[in-house]
Amino acid sequence: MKINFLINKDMFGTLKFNLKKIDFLKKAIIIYMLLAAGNIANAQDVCNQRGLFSATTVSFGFSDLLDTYLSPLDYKGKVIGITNERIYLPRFGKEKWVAQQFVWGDFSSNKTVYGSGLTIAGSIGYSWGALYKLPKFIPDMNLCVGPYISAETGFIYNMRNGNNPVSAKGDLSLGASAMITYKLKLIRKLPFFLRYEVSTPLAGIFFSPHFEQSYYEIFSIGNNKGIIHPGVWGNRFDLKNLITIDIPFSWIGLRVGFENNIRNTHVNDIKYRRVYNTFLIGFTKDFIPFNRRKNNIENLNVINPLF
Amino acid sequence: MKRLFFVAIIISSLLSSCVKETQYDNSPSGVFDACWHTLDQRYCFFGYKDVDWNEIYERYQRKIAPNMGQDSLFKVLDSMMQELKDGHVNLYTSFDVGRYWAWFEDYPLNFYSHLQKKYLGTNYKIAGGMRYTILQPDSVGYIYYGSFSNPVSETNLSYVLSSLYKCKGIIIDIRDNGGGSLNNSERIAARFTPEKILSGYIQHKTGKGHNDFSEPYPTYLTPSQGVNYYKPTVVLTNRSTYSAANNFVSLMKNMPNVTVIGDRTGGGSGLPFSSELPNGWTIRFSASPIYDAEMNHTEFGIDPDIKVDITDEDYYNDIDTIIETARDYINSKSEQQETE
Repeated sequence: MKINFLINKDMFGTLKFNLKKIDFLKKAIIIYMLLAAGNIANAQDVCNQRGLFSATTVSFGFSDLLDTYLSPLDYKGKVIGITNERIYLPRFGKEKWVAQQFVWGDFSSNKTVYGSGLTIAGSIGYSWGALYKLPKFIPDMNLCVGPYISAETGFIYNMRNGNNPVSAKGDLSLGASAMITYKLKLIRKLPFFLRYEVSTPLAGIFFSPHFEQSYYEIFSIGNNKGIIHPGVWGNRFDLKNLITIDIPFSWIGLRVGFENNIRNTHVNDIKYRRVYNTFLIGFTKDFIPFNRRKNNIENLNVINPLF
Repeated sequence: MKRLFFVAIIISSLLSSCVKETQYDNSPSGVFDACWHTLDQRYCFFGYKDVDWNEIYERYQRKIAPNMGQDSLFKVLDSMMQELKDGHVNLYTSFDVGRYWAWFEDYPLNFYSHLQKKYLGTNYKIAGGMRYTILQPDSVGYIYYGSFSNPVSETNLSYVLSSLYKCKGIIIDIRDNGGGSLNNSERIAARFTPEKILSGYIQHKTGKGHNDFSEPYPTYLTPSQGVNYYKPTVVLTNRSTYSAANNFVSLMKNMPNVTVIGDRTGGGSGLPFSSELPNGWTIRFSASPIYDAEMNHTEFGIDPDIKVDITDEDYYNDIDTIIETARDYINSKSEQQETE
């Protein structure tokens, strides 16, 4: 489905006089709002442009952590994070594919269930996926499925361990995602975009030392044989459930949501579990990439990546 | 649509497949079991020391009572851990540290700081963690390195060895050095090898069984790119030379111009790891055995090439017998080399 964001000549004409009286920033905002409001009109010789949808959210919630390389005790605590998501139409696929990119970072502080000890953890990651838009069977609902690749690196630091305080984390994954989006019109002209997405890696590699292998042995002496493991569901199970609600207000929108992010590995008798349940809040924004020299703003047709 | 939700439910049900570890409760028996099981799965010298850990469980578990206080529980756990006869096995609490120190407490001290000060004087130099001077009138270099936790950089070492280069020989005193970083041990030892040598082996546990070990991995020492020293060198040791310092002695024993003088070292060849108990106490234990170049354990210490104790007579005359023996040895070696 295409949404035409066309600028009517008359609209610019009537605004011309008033724009002289306001400063440049306000001019820009008004023009942008007009673009985003989607003043729909029929036009000839439209220039198709792939829209880019971006959402930046901060997250806060609860963490559950276990890494038996450091401690057999369960740790629980609080986690904060930041994520940027971008959805756009890739150059391939004739608008039947959607590209999705995530960049994230998080930090958690955890204590044992008895309130003692302190373990902090942090990670940064990146993923890129291509989702195929399946044929619609419900109006305003999109179902997409497809593969993704991701990379994450991080650490866990146990403040009480004098000799082996750190557990390093790192993985590369090839996984699958499924996403349902639904445009809900609760209020007239103010649609809500609902999204549920589930993703899990199906194959990949990840780092783990041997059962009692020290980082001194790996990095100082150089005995690094067998520290990269193939990750399959037998020794690794990760899952991400993401629910978001986007409420667009002209050129910017509000995003709220919930994310359940699970990471498990069990290799070399070392068990690792990290569960983050976080609430998300942030803003969304539609970008309309166009070249002023090549494209005529009056005939710009922005193709929404999802609808 | 129904299929989709069905798939989602299946995937969500996999949440229950999260890895879990046995969680012991914060009662005396829970803490005792957590301690015993952690050591049972992770301690690396059961086989070498021929310890019947199951028998020890039976013996000490009887001493656990539901209402026992922290002090009593600490004593039981500490006693049980001391059965391993390992200086790297400790129980850390807010009120005490459980320890096995018989490896030096049952032997002569062989190091007195007031005697050492007579030799070091007040005009010594400090480079990183090393204090060094030239003993006169025989021009013998003297370095005291009190802890391998104190950093010593490559630059420090080049300056120290340059300063002592014209001496007949060097004494490296690591008595009362309780260890620290193995990287410092290797960095210093590399200054005394004229060629790349096999310096030892390291293993790690690969599983929870008492005999689950990796293949021994060889370690090597290569000469430093900085200032190296190949004149007569003496390493001074006593029973408090432990852990990384013990490892340093093991490395230096491979060098052609190095002699170890003093008392047997304290040992401590297991690379320690830490873990936690449900009540917030921390335990430490040997997890990864390190061997010498002949694949021998050095957990219970390394014998010196020349065994010397500080005599009572020398002690009362403010003489450090071990330093004097080292000086005599270097002087004789120097004369011998000049004759040749």
